[in-house]
Amino acid sequence: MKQTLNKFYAFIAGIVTVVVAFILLKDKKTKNNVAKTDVKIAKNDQQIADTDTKIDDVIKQKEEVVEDIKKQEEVVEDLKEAKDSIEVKPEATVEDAKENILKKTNRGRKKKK
Amino acid sequence: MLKKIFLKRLTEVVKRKNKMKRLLVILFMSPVFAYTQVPDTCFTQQEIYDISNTLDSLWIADSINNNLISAQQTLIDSKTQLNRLDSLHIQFQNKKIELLEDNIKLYVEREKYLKPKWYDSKIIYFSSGILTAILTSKLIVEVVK
Repeated sequence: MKQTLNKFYAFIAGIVTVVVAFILLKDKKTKNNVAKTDVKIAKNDQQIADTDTKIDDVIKQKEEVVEDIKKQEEVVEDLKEAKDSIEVKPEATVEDAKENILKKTNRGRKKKK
Repeated sequence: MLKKIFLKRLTEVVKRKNKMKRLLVILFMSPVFAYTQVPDTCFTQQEIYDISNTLDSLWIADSINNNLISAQQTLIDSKTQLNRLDSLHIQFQNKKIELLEDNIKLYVEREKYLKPKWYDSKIIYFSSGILTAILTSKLIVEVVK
């Protein structure tokens, strides 16, 4: 009777040991996997932070370029307005007008040798 | 014989006369050609003023147009730069999106690992507790007997 009981308890103890060992191994594996995933996530987060810095730089540069473009567009508009409203000072005398004509035409220019 | 000499002399004289005629014609016509070469450049005062003003305005327009061309060129360069920066921005954003999607996958995976297992159930713990108590009491009873 005692022997049967001892066998029964040994069997139970064996089963319990196996189950506990299985659970412990499974837990360890899970913890390792979680640690690996955490490392990957941290690496990704670092890369995301780097990319964010680069994006911020690009946005700053874009803002500067947009400002430049606005200024240049204003310059172009001013030039167009100036082109549309050209005012010329009339020459005082006919001689001045003649000189002006000669100066600003091929006749007034010296021929290059 | 005399007749032949006379005829020869006559032809020479006629030739000379013809040459003289041509020379005279050229001499008389030369001033005409010379005068016809001179263009008629007689302008009134008003016309001179107008030409001068037109020339001035054209010169000013030319300089403004040159400035306009250079300004437009600068504008084109700036817009090209902006285009390049936009492309770079999109590239970085795409990279960020990829990394974030990767992160989502990793978090899902992590969640799976951290999900409570079957042996984490309270029922199992409770029943194993009862079983241990029963077995222990049985063991004590057997030992006492």
